[in-house]
Amino acid sequence: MSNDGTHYLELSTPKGETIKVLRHAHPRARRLRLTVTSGGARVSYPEGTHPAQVFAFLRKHANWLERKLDELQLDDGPPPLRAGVPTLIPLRGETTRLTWRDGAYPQVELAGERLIVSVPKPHNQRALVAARSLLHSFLHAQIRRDVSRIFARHIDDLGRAPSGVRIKPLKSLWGSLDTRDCVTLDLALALAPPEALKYVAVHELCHLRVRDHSPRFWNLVGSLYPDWRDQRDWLKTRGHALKAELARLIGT
Amino acid sequence: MWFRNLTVFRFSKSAAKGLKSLEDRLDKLRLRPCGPIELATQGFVSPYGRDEDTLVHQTAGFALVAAAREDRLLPNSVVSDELSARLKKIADKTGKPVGSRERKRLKDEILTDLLPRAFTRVSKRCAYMDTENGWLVIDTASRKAAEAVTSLIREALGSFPAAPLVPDESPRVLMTDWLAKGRLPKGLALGDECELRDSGDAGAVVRCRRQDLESDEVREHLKSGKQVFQLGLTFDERLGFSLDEDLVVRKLKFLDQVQAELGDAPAESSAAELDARFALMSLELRRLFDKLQEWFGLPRPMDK
Repeated sequence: MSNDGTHYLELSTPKGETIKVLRHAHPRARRLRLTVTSGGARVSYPEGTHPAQVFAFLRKHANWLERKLDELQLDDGPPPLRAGVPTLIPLRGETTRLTWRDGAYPQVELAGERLIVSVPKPHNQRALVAARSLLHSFLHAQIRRDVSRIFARHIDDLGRAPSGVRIKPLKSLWGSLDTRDCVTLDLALALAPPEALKYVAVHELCHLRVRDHSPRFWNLVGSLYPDWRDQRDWLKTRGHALKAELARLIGT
Repeated sequence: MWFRNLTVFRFSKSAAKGLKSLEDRLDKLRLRPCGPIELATQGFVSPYGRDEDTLVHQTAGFALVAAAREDRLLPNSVVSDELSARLKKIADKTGKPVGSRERKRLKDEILTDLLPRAFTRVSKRCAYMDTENGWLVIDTASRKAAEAVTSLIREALGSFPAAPLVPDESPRVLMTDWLAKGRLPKGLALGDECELRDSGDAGAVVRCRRQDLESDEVREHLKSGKQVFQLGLTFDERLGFSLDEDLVVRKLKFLDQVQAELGDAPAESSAAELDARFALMSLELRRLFDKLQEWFGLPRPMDK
């Protein structure tokens, strides 16, 4: 194990591999905490914790960390998005080829199984910034389209309606419902299969009736969407990769 | 009584059926004056004016209501000044600072003293329901104010599942396409203002007012990837407005053609004038909403 500068700790695994763990001293932390998200592994600890204590904590949980990273398949992610270089992305659960074209105005359009990004030449860093912005809007539009149908279908069943819908990248959640009944959905759901998006949208709608996750809540979810368990499991196992993919596409 | 801004919700056919005995239901939530130590009350008032009783103005398929709120105007600074003065007086007398519990008690005492003497202000916000097509239209651009009105209607009706507009087609993508290519749907023309933004929370924002939207300056921004989040438009040379990303209609103006149809002759009474204006406005807006539905795809919630 070594400390490679100020931000990362390097943990050697029994297999001889090295895992980089982001370290974060938190003023309000009361214990050591190891988390794995689409951004990688991270350990947070109270300010003033001795480095040896952090290293010992990581060593103790090295096997868990390795297993979790394997599950999320974060170690060999796709290459960074580059203007003019075609790549494969997930879109509505299908692998889709993203290609680049010269165009008078930046534009993103779906043509069959290809996603075509048109940007004025040269395809440089500036074009990449414009493309990321458009991809953000394109994914936003994809979710809106699905959500408008899901909501139209279920609002009358529930007898309640949300006060608004926000779609934005979320770090760890897939959706939420605030105290003013506004639904927020994760932009990464545009990359997931439509069934997963439907599950999250129905889940948040059901919170309009039941605010907690009690059996009554899950019964309500089940009455509107019987296959919810499959989708929840799918998001648990594959979801982090989608969040990482979204970060690659829109640069958050 | 022209609406100036429009926040629109949709409701299903079965929800529309629940609006039949609207007058009786709203009557239970008629606005009452603030009590001597009440900060605010809310309820419904007559759209015809303060001295009228009728709470709903009905025309064919439309129901106009007015939600109102009465607030006691007691600025926080007045309470703070009075509290400081009383705290100082006690501290001078006893020689030690006042504890937090005593401070809270003093503040409550000040509110009880000052509230009955405070002025009250009534603010009114009109809304109408198009029961045939399932539109709830509120005269505000503020989401918070719109939610307050829908909550009040829900409270009166027991349940009223009106949903915010969630369009099939992304307004920012469609409006950017209109502006970039200069091809607008039939009946629409560009106005003279827009707001362009980079997507994402920290993106750049460009706001144009009194600007030719087909100029090179605007095109350059579009070429760099900015998108239209708000666009000034004219509909059939009858309505002028600014449409935003959430399909909130701002700065709505009924143009000369519509005003001319109303005529210059004075109405027999204020109720007759309201009736004429509301009929004209609701029919004009029904045409606009039909078109918004066609361009953006705004599905009406389905019945059970």
